[in-house]
Amino acid sequence: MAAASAAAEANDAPKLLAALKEMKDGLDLVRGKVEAITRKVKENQLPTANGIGYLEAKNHLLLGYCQDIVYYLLRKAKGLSVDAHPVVRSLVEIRLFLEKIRPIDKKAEYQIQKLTNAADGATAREKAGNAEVKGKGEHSDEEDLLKYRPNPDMMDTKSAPDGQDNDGVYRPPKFMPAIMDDEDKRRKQDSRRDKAIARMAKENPYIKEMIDDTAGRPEEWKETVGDESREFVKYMRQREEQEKQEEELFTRAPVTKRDKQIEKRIRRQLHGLGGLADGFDLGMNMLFDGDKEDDGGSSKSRGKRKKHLKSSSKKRKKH
Amino acid sequence: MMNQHKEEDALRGRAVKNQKAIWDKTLEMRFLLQKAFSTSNKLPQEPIKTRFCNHDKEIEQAYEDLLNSSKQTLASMTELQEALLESNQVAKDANEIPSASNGENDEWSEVQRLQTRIKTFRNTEIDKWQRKIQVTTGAAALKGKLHAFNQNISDQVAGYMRDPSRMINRMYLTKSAVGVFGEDAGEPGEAEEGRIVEGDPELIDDSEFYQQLLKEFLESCDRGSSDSAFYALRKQQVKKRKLVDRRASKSRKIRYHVHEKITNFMAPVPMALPPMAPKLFENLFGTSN
Repeated sequence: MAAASAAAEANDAPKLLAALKEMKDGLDLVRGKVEAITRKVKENQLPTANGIGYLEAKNHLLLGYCQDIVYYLLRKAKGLSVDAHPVVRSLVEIRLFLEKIRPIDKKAEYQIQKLTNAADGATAREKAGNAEVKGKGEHSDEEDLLKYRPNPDMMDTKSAPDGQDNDGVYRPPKFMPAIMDDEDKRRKQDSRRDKAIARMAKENPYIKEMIDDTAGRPEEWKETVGDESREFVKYMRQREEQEKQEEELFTRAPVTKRDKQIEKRIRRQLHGLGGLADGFDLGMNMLFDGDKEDDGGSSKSRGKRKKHLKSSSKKRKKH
Repeated sequence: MMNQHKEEDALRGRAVKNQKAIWDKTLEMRFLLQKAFSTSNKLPQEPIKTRFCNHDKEIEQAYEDLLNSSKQTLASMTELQEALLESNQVAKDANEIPSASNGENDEWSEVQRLQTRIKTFRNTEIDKWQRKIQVTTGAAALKGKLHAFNQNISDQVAGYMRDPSRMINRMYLTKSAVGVFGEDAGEPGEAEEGRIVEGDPELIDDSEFYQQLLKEFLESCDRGSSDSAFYALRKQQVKKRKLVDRRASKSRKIRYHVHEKITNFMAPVPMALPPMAPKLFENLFGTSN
């Protein structure tokens, strides 16, 4: 047993020696650096009194950590136990602190950078001297715009009553906010609906019949040739309107090619059974849906023609 | 007024630069200490140490040197810290003067004294800045469960320190891993099967923290200044890629999809029509011809 340990010692001895020397050199190096900084601080070459306190605290923390390490080394070198010695606790505590402040570090980086840039700018300005003041002035203006603090000089003054733009255009001062109101729209919609219902009551033959019945008016007979489609009835109504206008104004509207085509088609239809399937819904559709007019059996391109009819009739009315 | 601000900021900026310089120097010290730190774990403890010393005079001498050197280093560090405190009026004022040292181990009491000195200052500063950052990032406005006014960092750390055993246990190395001089690490086969090798409370290691510091430092230095360091860092950060077998795409390889077994399935059994079936249907449905 003793022999084995002696052998082990013989093996390890040179390694231990080398390790010890290495450690000593490392420590000497560190000590040299520490003394250099201490000298600088004592000569007040590194004034930090105006700096950010947070960075100061960080420096102290790291320094404390290094001290703990060196103390640990010392104890190891003496061969004493480090188990349950407060130095371990201290190491853990400082390490926790340093880890926790890492996010703060990242977020404060912007501010720190701005300050360093300001310092760099200031030293640059000092070195450049007064000759280049103008050139630097613009540059520093740009930097000022980037400053992190609010700049009361840049605030817009509230518009005075006589402080108008030089447009020559009168701009009313904005005192009250404009309220977007839907009431007009609602009123318009209601009136439109009323008008639509009134029109339906007049024009749809079935509804007219019912209303006349209830009102006690006698039945109205209209001479029709064949079943009139809804289209035709509309067309007739428009033609009558137009005639009335023309008679009042003593002018005739010119008949366009489109109008001639429509007329031809209507005439052709008139003698057929175009209107047979119309009005099968008894007009109830129109009452309930409101604006939508859906014919059961009319031809497909009614929509287009309707538009044209409408626009052409509008054109005539303007004359 | 803007000029005033500018000058103020320039002054602060200079001080901040100095602080950064000190931080960098301290970090450098930490890095230099790492080698010594890790080798220190190999140093033997008391009875073995005296044996070594008796064995070889040189070792004893080397030990003496080491002791002296480390004592001096510690002294210089404490000097530095005191100098820093002297120069920074704010830090000095914020601190309380600690009570008399306990006199057990002079060096440790020195170190401890300094640390208690900066305690108050450190706590207030860190809490103040944590609050500031919370406000600027809007985290203070969030009322979620986790965010709701996180405790101050100092309180958090104080809470952890009440039970540091977990953290400390993680920092222990094992004797066999370190190879302490003069100790028999024992053969790996000797350990009983299934027994986890316990950490040795004598061996403290904080390589994780060290790695983090190193990484942070390398990231903070400019990209242009040291390309080699940058590339070294890059090599360490290996991206995890999904393992895809490129030769199996585009139907170049046959894949087999196994269907589930069908339960309660019966194969069709051919039906045997009774001989009177057609006659029966004829009677039922009448003449179909």
